[in-house]
Amino acid sequence: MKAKKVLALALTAAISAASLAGCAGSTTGGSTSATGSGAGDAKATVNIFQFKVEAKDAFQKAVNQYVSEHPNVTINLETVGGGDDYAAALKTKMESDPPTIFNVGGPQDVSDWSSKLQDLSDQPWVQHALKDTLDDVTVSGKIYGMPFDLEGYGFVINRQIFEDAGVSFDSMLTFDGMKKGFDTLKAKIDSGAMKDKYPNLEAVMEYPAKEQWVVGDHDENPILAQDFSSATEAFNAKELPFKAADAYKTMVDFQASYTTNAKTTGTLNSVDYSTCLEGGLAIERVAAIEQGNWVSPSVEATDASVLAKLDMLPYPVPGYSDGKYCTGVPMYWAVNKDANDADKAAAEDFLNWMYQSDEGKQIIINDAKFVPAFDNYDGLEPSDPLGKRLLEASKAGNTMPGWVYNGVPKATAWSEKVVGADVQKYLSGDMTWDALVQDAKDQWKTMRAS
Amino acid sequence: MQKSKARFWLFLTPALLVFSIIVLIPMLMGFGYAFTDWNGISGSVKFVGMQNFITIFQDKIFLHSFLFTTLFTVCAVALVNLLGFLLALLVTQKFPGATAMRGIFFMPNLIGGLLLGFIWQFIFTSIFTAIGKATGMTFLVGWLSTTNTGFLGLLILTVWQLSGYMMIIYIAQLQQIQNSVKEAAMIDGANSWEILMHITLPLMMPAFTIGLFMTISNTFKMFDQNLALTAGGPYRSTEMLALNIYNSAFGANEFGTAQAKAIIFLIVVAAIGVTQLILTKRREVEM
Repeated sequence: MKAKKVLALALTAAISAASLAGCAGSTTGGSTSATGSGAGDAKATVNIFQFKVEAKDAFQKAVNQYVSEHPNVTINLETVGGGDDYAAALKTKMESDPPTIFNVGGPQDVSDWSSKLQDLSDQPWVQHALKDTLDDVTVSGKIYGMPFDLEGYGFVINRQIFEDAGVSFDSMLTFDGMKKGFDTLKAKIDSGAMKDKYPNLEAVMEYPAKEQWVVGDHDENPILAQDFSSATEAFNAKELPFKAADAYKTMVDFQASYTTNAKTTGTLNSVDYSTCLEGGLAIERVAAIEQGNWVSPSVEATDASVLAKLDMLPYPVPGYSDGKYCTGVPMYWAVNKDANDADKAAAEDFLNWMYQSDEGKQIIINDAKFVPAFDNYDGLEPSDPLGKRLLEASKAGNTMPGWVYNGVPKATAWSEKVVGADVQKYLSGDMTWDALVQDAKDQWKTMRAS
Repeated sequence: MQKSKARFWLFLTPALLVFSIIVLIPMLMGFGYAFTDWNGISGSVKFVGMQNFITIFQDKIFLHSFLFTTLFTVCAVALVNLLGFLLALLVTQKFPGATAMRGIFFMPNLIGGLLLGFIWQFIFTSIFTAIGKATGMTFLVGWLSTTNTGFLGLLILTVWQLSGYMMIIYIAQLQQIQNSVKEAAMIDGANSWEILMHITLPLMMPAFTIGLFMTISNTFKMFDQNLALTAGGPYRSTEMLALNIYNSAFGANEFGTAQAKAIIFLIVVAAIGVTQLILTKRREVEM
């Protein structure tokens, strides 16, 4: 009898624990609202549905500040993270409870959502947007999106480790230099020379091949950038030239060869993003990963002292380009055309305020830690080393378009589910590189046609 | 008579209404969309006839997913029920801690599929690798990076999660079997193996009907565990049907094709389920 009571208690505890855990697990996004009180202009309600989880506290701060100055406006901020997850969630959201402000990625999104997009061409921020940043959301002269920020990627390295191995940052700006530097460090790791100072260090690189957005989207982008100068150009291409495909292979092989799984590359297919970042670069288990400036907050959260040692190398395309970072705008703000006029006006005003007012700029730089995509942020500089490097490269023109893959057929269906998956097959030895190239071209054609 | 008929409809109508709104009507709408090229967003919907069905049967990934799911279901159903039954036999024996063990075996079932998937992912990729590297057992390294280990991983997770639930069902049935029948057999000289084979198992058939039905439909329709553990990786080779349908609807924006896939999926699940019900029902014996 007593045993039964104990069991009943244990089960009850387990059920409540499970249901609690369920709640925590199912809350992919938080929904918070802020309301200003008092009389003012016409009442307006703005519902924001956005995807950048990392910046949701910063956006909430901006919302709170804005409504305290504009008491007639109510703003609800809702965040759902991730690429695919956001796209799927937006589809259902638009049917059930259409947001006033939402996010679009590039030409594919703009075309899919064209019936919902408000023309933003007359907005005051347009004249301050950096060159080329609006191309992918411009259709026949009309601008449908406001850039979130400027992001960029290349090879994020632990500069300190390389310098301790006798390799300087400046010597690695080209593919040959990078190879030489990586080889030097690899030799020192293998011989045990780095052991004293970096006890965790076990390889030069980690390569999270499980993530199709890494082996697909990111690694194919510099290759696509040799064919197309923008996502829009890729979006309009019926066929894929893929002329730098050999460089793609070189870079995949290059990255795999500096990992602990260099001999069993198939195993890389189970290495995920957090293993390479929080369990790799941030604990000095590896000295380099192919990533971008968005890793800063995660590294800082794991070990702030490591963040100070980081720097970013350009993404080389051997035989085609050297010394260029992939930069661009990953996501845009869009306003729902079907909202009523008062709400639309408030939405437009809020977006403009967040990126163009002095208070807004402070939040964008210091809280969201964005690299701004506007030219009027004088005196405000990103605080982390990766953002700084990116801004410098962007000013010097050492960049190539970083989000060309937003213009591939059916977005991630081609770049991740076809090319990303094929790279995984290649790594596990189930597909030759030639077959991969052929498949990528064939699928591009079929998916573009359908 | 009149009164009871009114009462019949009174009680049935609310349930019928809810069922129609959230199951029947969307399903019928889905049938309609299966013959269109709708992308899930735009207002323009074009009728394309059987085109979606033709596309599906030329889609190698979908066919692979179908085979993978079938193979998985066969293995999982066999293992889950076998283990569930053995556990039920075990915990109905009289020994200290038997009741506590029931609770423990049942517990995995209380954790949501997504959470389970992530927990097992950590076990397979991190703990297995650590053990493998420390002991030199190389087969423990690189789990979930190949189709086979992905399959095994899914199988282990599912068996671990579902067999406790099946155990509860089988315990209930085991306790229904009257001891007098077994005692009579014992007096007639039957040993415990013969009692199990000729008395217990036939009388367990009603429970097997339910157990098999539940495991077949649960494993065939599995989604959360698949998404959390492998997400179809590597290279979509462990993508089961439900995930495949989801990916084409929400990933590739091919809502029409996804609906067509879903119809085929529905027909197959229904056919297998009904066949199994008929077959096992026939073998049920009354006491």
